[in-house]
Formats: sequence, structure tokens, C-alpha cells
Amino acid sequence: MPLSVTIVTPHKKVVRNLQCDELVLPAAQGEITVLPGHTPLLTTLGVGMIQTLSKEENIHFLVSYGFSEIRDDQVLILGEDIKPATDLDIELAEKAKAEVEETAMNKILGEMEYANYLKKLEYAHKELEIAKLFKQKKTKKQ
Amino acid sequence: MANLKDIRRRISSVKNTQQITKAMKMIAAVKLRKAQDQILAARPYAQELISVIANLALHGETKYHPLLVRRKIKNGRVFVVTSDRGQCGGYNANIIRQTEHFLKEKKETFQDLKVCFIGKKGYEYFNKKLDEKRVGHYYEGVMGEPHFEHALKIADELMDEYTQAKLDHVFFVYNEFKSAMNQHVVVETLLPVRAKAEEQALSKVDYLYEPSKKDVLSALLPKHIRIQVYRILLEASSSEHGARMTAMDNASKNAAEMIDKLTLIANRVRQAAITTELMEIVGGAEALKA
Repeated sequence: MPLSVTIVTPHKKVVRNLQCDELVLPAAQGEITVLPGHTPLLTTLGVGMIQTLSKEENIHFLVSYGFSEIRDDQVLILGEDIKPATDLDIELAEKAKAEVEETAMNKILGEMEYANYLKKLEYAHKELEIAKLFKQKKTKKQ
Repeated sequence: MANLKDIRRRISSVKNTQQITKAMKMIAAVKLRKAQDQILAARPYAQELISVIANLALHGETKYHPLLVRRKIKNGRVFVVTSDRGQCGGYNANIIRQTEHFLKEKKETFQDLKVCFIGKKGYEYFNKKLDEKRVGHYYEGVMGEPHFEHALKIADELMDEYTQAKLDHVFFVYNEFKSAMNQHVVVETLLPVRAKAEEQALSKVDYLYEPSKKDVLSALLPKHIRIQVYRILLEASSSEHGARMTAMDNASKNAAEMIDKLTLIANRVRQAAITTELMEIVGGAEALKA
């Protein structure tokens, strides 16, 4: 039986019951791959790429800090910001990264602010990286 | 019989009122649309979080996180979520009634039960009515357009106080949004975090936790509380606009009815006046003839 993936954010349901054979998640302590029949698992997610792999197509998502619950081959992914990788835009990502970097340049950050800044920076880096990755793939196809 | 001029004046005043209520209805409809989109988007996330939490909290593993701890109930807090503005039918009255009922009921259970307010109408009412020491904080300017930042602020304050054992139980009284026509008042427990009774039977899953149970819970629970507060604010705001739209629709209809009635009377009065005048003329002519 294949996996059934549901991804939800506070702003919308990104996908619902997407069928796939294999799922790669950026868990807190490194990437994990989930196959059908996985034991119940509750994990936090870091910044990175979610990949759903099946024979027909592979779909990728950018995620930053969320959760995943895996139970009876039902995978539920909750995150504040999850975007399909194909929606990413290099220019926007670069702009976001520059903005984040600027916040640290002009003032000294407190401890909490610094932690926030690091999180945002990591996200911006990852966003750009994934955006570039998919841009390349698109251009190759053309 | 009433003066024709007076009736005409009344008709035009009712017409003015009708115009206002119609405009308010349109505005409420637009705002409702926006609020409804927001709540429909936020609900699935909140519900999925609840279902995850439901599986966890019931294992009775309260030692893993301070928000799961259940203390002897002493200090309670009730949040009354009303609107800032009136003109929305029974919306605020229903909440106030329910809250009063609730306060009476829980009087014995809590040593100290404070009432906090989101929305001006509830604050204005209870501020006059309750003892000074029972009136808690009033969060101003939230209901105009609830943002996630508002929810964040409220939720974080609550979690702080709960963790420091200043608070043992938190309730919310608000209107749950069913449809534009239909809202109903709900009293909900936000803290301590607990599973609903019907969900308890379902789940006995032994999860693996990564990185550790404590880490997962301490990331999951604050998020859950914040998103629940956010959802409650959105539910209330959608309900408010829905209630206002319905109320204004009714008001416009009533105004139309009233205009019809008054027009009828005005016409009758006018005809009566014409008849009398004719009679007088005819009477006068007869008198001259004679």
C-alpha cells in the first residue's frame, strides 16, 4: 500500500492525500526516508526539501520548521510555510536573502533576534538553493 | 388623522435609514467574504494539530511539558470574545448571556476567576457589572481585523502565566462560525491541553519521537495554543460579520415594509383630503344656487 501524504499550512491545504511510494523528509536530525509500513513517528522538521517519489512523478516542497506525523501509512505534514518547489522564484529568493542579511548588518542583535536571524538566513539560503535547482531542470527540458 | 406632511417626513426618514442599513449590509458582506476565506484556510491546520495533540496528551505523560500539567483548579480565566461595534443583532447579547451563566455556574469551583476581554462590547458591559478585581485585561483593537500577531501576544502571555502556575484553567467564550445565518456560542477550554472525550477512545499509538519526546512537545504545544487562539479570533470575526449582515438585511426588509405601510396611509390621507375638498366645493356651489 502506498503512502498518503497530506500537507497543511495555516494559510491553506497544500496537498491532500497525495499518493506516493517513497517520501524524503528533512527531519530535525537529518534527512529521513519513509517507506510504506513505517512505524508511527512524530518528528520536528528543519529547513529543507520534502520529496515525494512515485513512478509517475516526483514532487518537491520547501519546508521550514514544521512537524510530521506518520501513522498507518498516513503522513501528515504541518508547517507554517510550505511551498511547492516549482513555485519558487530565484529573483524573489535572492531578494529575500538580501533583506535577511541586511537586518544583521546594521545593528547588533539580541540573543533571541540572533536566533531568529539564523533561522531566517537558513531558510533564505535553502529557498535560493532549491529555486536554482529547479530552474536548471526547467531550462534543461527546454 | 395624521398630517400628510408628517407622514411624508417619516417616509423620507425611514428611507434614509434603509439606505444606511443597506450600505452596512454590503460592507459586512464584503468583510465576511474575506474573514470566511481566512477561517476556512486556517481551520484544517488547527484541526490537524488538535488531532495530533489528542493522540499525545492522553497518554497522561504530563511530566514532559509544563503545559500538560494539571493542577488543582484555583485561578481561572475567561476570555470573552465580542465585537467592537454594535448593529449585529443578537451576536454580543448571546455571548454576554452565556458568559453570565457560565460565571454563575463556576463561582464555586474557582477561588479566583478573572474575566478578560477581546472586543469592546463585552468589556463595556462587564466592566460596569463585575467587581473591579475580577475584571482582567482588555485587549483593545483586535476585533477590527484579527492578525496572527494578536493571537501570538495573547497566547504567549497565557502560556507564560500557566507555566509559572499563576493560572490553572483558561476558557474562551466565543461565537463559532457555521454560516452567515448561523453562529453559535461555544465555551471552550484552551488550557490545560487535553484530548476531547470522543477522541480518547480512538488512539493508542506508540510513537517514535525525533529528536526526543520533550523536544517535539515543546515545539508542538506552543504552536497549538497560538493557532487555537488565532482560530478563535477568526471564528469570532467571521461570525460578527455574518451576524451583522443578517441583522442589516432584516433591518432593510423591515424598513421597506414600513415604507410601504406609510405610503399607503399617506395616500389614504391624501385622498381623504381631496374628497373633503370636493365636498366643500360642491357644497359651496349648492349653497350659491339656493
